[in-house]
Amino acid sequence: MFQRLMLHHYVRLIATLLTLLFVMVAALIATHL
Amino acid sequence: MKYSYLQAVRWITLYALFVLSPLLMILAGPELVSRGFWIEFGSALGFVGMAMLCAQFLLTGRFRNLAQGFGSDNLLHFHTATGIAAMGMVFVHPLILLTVHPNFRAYLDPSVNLPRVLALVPAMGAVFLVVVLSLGRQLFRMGYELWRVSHGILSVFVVFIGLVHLLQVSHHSSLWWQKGYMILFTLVALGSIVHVRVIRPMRMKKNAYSLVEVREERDNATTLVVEAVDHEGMKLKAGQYAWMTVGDSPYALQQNPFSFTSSESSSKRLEFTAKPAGDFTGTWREMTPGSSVFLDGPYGAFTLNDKSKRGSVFFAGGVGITPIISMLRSLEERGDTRSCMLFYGNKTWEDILFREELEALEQSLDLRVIHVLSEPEEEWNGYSGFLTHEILESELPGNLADMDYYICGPEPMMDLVERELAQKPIPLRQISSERFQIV
Repeated sequence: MFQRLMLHHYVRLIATLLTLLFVMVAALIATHL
Repeated sequence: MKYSYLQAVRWITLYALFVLSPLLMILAGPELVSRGFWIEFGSALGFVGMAMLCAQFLLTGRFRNLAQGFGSDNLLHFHTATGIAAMGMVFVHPLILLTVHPNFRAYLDPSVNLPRVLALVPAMGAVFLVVVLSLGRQLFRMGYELWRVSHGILSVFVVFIGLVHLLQVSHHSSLWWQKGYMILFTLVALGSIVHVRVIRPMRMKKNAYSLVEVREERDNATTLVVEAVDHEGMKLKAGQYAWMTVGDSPYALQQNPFSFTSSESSSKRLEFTAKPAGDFTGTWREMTPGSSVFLDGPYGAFTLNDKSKRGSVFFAGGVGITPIISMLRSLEERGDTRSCMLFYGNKTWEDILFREELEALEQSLDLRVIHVLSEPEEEWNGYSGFLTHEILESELPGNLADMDYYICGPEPMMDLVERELAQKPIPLRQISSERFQIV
């Protein structure tokens, strides 16, 4: 079961990792355009 | 409603796909002559920034499916973090383009296209303002109501200008279906704000409440008692909250979230307790019975674990008692006989909100209340200062794993208790917490 305790400690980390993913995908797509 | 890890991963994947979908749309479009990596990268970041801004409208905690699983507080912290990241994208996008090719300076040249400059520059300023005002609202002493209005207006303005800019540039959205997709994409975002601020208030108007009692409480707090007007009220779970507007219209700019303090058996007669902490709560004591009250709710996943047969340990600091008193009142009404414990931090003995009722609950429930006072009177012989490792060590029951834990209070208290409990042999799913200080 998914539990929310301590999740707030990881919220920024999850957001940062997602942002990095978006930048990487943008870079990858830029090489193909 | 509890989520499995798989469902949580699914939501995060859905978010990522939503944000990346404009890039996939570009890929699916016609093959264009490449303008070089940096220009294409700068453009792609513009699309990502726009998509992230649109997604922000869906991450506001008002959509129950999403908010229930992660917790509204976590979702709003995520909203803040992704908002900062979106601002980063929106600023890096022109920086890269302006740096790599002088032609892009035309976008900021009033002699080339004045209306364009007058739209893009304020939009950039608005993105910056949205983030700065959200992070520093209290520092700037900005009222919550004014902040909320400005947040909505500035966000809509930014997304609208973003869409116009994207359609005008039209390099990667030249086909009708690409333009259509980006318009639809933006409409989903803007539609969600219309839903929250127009359609929901329409429903709230139909199901209005009337203020029937204004009760003074300890620590300068006030309880508002409202009753449903010709409808069944709201079926809440103890620990949840609702967005409240008081006045003639549910469309009023003022709307604030408050925990229910009434028990879950009472759906037609609801109570909310707050201390004066802003423009709105500052007026509670002057409110007159008979006023119309509009409620949007119930929201929140900080609720009693109904499937559990374990006892409960509650941790509250100051006004953080509000969702917990609702839980205790509900347990009392159910005739619950399981062991309960409440650690309750306040400034002084006189400040303790619901003090007399807690004393009565100690008789009717198997409840023990441990008060911790930060500025106690001289004759006080209980715990002084703040909740500490030592207090928890000496007071927590021996059967730690046989209890459920609920924490609500100021950030430092919550950090301490969560850290302490996480180090003990307690399954993490037995610990619930809610951070009410969001903006």
